[in-house]
Amino acid sequence: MDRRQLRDFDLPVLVVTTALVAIGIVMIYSATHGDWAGDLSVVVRKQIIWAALGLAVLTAAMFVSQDTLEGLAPILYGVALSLLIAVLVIGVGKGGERRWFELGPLRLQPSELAKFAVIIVLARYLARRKTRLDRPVHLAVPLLLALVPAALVLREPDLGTSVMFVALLVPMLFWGGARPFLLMLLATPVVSLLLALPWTEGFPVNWVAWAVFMALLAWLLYVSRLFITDKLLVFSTCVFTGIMGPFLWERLADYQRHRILAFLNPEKYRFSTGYQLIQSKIAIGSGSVLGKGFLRGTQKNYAFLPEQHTDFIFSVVAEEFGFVGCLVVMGLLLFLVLRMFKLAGQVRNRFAGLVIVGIASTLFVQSAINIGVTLGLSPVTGMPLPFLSYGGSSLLVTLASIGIVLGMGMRRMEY
Amino acid sequence: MGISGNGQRGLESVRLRSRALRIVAVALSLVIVVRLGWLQLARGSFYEDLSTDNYVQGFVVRAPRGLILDRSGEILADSRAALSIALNRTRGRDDEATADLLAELLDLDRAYVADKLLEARTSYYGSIVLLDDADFEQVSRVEERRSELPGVKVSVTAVRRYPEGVLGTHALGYVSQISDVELRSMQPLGYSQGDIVGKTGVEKRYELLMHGRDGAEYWVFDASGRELYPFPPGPAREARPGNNLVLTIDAPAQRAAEAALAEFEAGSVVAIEPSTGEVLVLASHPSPNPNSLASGVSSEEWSELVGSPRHPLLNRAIQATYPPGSPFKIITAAAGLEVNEVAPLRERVNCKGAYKYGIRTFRCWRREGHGIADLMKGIVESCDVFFYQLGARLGVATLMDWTERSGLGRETGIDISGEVGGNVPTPAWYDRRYGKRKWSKGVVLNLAIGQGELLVTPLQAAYLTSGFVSGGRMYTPHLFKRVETYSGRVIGTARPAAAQELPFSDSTIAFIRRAMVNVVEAPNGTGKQARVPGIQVGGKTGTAQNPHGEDHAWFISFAPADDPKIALAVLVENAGSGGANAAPIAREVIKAYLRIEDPEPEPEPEFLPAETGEAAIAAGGGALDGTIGEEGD
Repeated sequence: MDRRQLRDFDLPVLVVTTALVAIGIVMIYSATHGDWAGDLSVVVRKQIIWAALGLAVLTAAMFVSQDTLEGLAPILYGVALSLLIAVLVIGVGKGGERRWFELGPLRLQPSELAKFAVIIVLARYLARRKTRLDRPVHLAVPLLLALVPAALVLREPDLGTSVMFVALLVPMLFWGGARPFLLMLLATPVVSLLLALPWTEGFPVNWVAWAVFMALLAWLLYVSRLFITDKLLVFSTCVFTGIMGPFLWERLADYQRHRILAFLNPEKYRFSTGYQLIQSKIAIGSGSVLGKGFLRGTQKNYAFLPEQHTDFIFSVVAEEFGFVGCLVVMGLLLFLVLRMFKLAGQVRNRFAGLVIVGIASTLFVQSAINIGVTLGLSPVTGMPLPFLSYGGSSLLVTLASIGIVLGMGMRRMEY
Repeated sequence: MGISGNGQRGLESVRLRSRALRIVAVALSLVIVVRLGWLQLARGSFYEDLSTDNYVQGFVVRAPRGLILDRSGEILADSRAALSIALNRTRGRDDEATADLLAELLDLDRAYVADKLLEARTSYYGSIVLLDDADFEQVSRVEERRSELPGVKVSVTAVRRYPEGVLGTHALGYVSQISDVELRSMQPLGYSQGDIVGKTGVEKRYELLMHGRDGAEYWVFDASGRELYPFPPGPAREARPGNNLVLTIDAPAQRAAEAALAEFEAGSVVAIEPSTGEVLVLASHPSPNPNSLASGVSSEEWSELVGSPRHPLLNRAIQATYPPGSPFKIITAAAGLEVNEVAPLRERVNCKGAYKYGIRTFRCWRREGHGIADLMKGIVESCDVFFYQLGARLGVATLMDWTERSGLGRETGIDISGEVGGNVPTPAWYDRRYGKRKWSKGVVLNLAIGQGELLVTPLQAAYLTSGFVSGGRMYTPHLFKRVETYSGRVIGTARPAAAQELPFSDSTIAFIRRAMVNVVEAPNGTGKQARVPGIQVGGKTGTAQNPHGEDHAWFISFAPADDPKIALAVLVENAGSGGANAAPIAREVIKAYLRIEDPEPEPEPEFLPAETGEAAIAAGGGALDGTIGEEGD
């Protein structure tokens, strides 16, 4: 490690990361010390161990060179895919899901590793590409790289995490040089699919909206300067996903459909799935400006708030520390993300820049969706809040990624 | 700057892209912050209420209902501790499983339990009472399965108790859970679901005095419906007990009346203190058991009560009307005296057992006749022929005019609800009923002896009697004597309210009173069975025609004769002779009220009472009620 590298070490990122992990441990302590819970201090102790382990991994990851990482990418991707297949066979989870490997007291979630692997392998592919990403067909390989693990994760089933693979794809392609127009086209099949879903059963408004959308798309393609084959490809893909939408909807598990419907109409599903959303909103809203105070959250204490120490940890922050506490947590998270995006623009190595963008985007999208869920802005997805939610795999992978980013920052002048 | 490996269009482009990503991140974050601000800042207090509502539940602490006491302080109604099972609002509860389990444990109808669970789920305040007076078995079964029954609360509550069971039930009334209709009108007065309120009698009339002010307490609950601890510690508002109500009822006399009535199928006794209008006895037999009504009856038990041919829920004292029979002769006599149709000491009629009016013959109850009779003998021996001729001379209009002016035909205004006014058939009434001139003036003969369409309640009979023994002044009958706080401070006392004066002169009233004393005390009086050793008693026997069966027995009475403390009316349904069956009841009530002990076993009566079938029988036969008029002028 030379002097320059030491100068380029991003201390604030490490400090903020450590602060977020510490806040997470404190909030998990609070979430597991309600009147209802009895002694759950074992959860806190586990998280502390994971945090310590994670910081060690973070430190180690700093010393992994970007070339090594780039070389490892295909292997890592292969391992991740194998694990995703394996977890479908021997995995465990709540009520018929297969999400984790259970190794004694440890639970490992391969989808967390897979997210990281997809970032690396996408970065490698995009960094090595010699031509620009101009035509829709140029997106075929990156799409395939992301969609294969996404499909496997969807089989677990874990809708939220599988959405993440697509979500991180977009900023990385953007960074890789894809034109925004192309990215927009990338989104069109998804929009087509969503519009075609039977949101309101028995009412044909979706088909009207879908038809309007398709007409707009046709016009847009007509005036664009794409090849005629590309235009036809995009349009036919949209027709295909639109027709597939209702079939896919039927294929979703009951609870997944419920979550989406409950998100759209929580009052109607007040006593089932919507219950979580309503209780979370009550917890957050009742926190008001300064919160009810540490360990004083009534929604949390009396178990009205679901999944307190995992997916709804942000609601605990909001209830006990109010608007101010939320701004602090969100500010720290946003600080990390912005800092990383900025760093991505500073590193000289193209692969490193893509990896940083992928990691930062994952961090941002995952945080935004998790917080969005607690606020009722997004359907319940079962996604952890990075750094804060209880969960070893997530914390370990997140801290490792931060280590990678810190290392790349130190070597920002290398090509 | 030169060429960079990062990005195909060089560093500038990379910086632009970095900035674009950062702008997007900040913009999306702002959306979240706005949403957060909306929930926490704009809607903060709304959600604070919701969160409090989530874990804190309020409960009504029922105020102990005031006691009901008789005029000398004997307890007629109090409260006992009971265990009640209530359902709280609990979100995490599986209502289907809970309904199954509760229905099984408590031996209740499952649909009823499911209904109450739904009510509890949707109720905004307090808890829903499932079982008001659970027995020990039921409670222990629930306690054993406590962990499976979130939000099921067992608490101590007060249940109305009538220590003697049936005693003055029709005066006291009974209590039961507030109905939805009642709740709508009583909610502004602070009543809430599950409250116990008076349904009839003084329990209903003086509900607000006796109810007290319910307190409230708050408990912390967790999401699974477990009750954790009080919030904040201690009761938030103490319950204030209701006031005690002292009634004018005299428990010993009431008891004597009910014991005597119990020998018969059905009947009623009403006794009034003549100088005040205080109701000393208000008995109606048969009667439901108010204790079982207070702890809740099933719908089958209720329809059995309602459908019973003996009508136990009917308060005969104020709600049933009967022809007054011979006691009405005192009105006919007084009216005769007032219009100078009879000179009491000179007027004589020879009773040969029947009276001819037009083509019809009206019989005296004594077939062999009374011989030469004057007004005194007419009353004392209850000679029908004497009153036929007197009635014929007075005419319907005059006789009914005096009757109305004596207070009959309208409610007395007693302070319990449901009273009816009876009927005084004036010529106008007959015109309405049968059409102008479609009825015979001969109806006056039946009216003169208290039969026909003339109808009175036992209360009216007692009320009228009180007027004749209190110098002509009648006081509104009332059960309320005074009200005291639970600590005994008097906060209200009833004052006698003179309702009206009898329209008769003092001498007329004195004559009637003398005649009534003779009815009981003279050797040939029809009311000898009412004699009480040591005092003089006045009275008048009677029999009310009953087209549906055996005639009803009447006796009106007062005692002591020189300074009457009690005026009463006894009616026994289907008991025939008033002298034989109603007069002894009056005697028992008078003895009980005046606290007169039997000196020795009663001597055998010298002879059996002669009065049987005193009623006039219309010679033409046929139905007796309302058919007379059809025979034409």
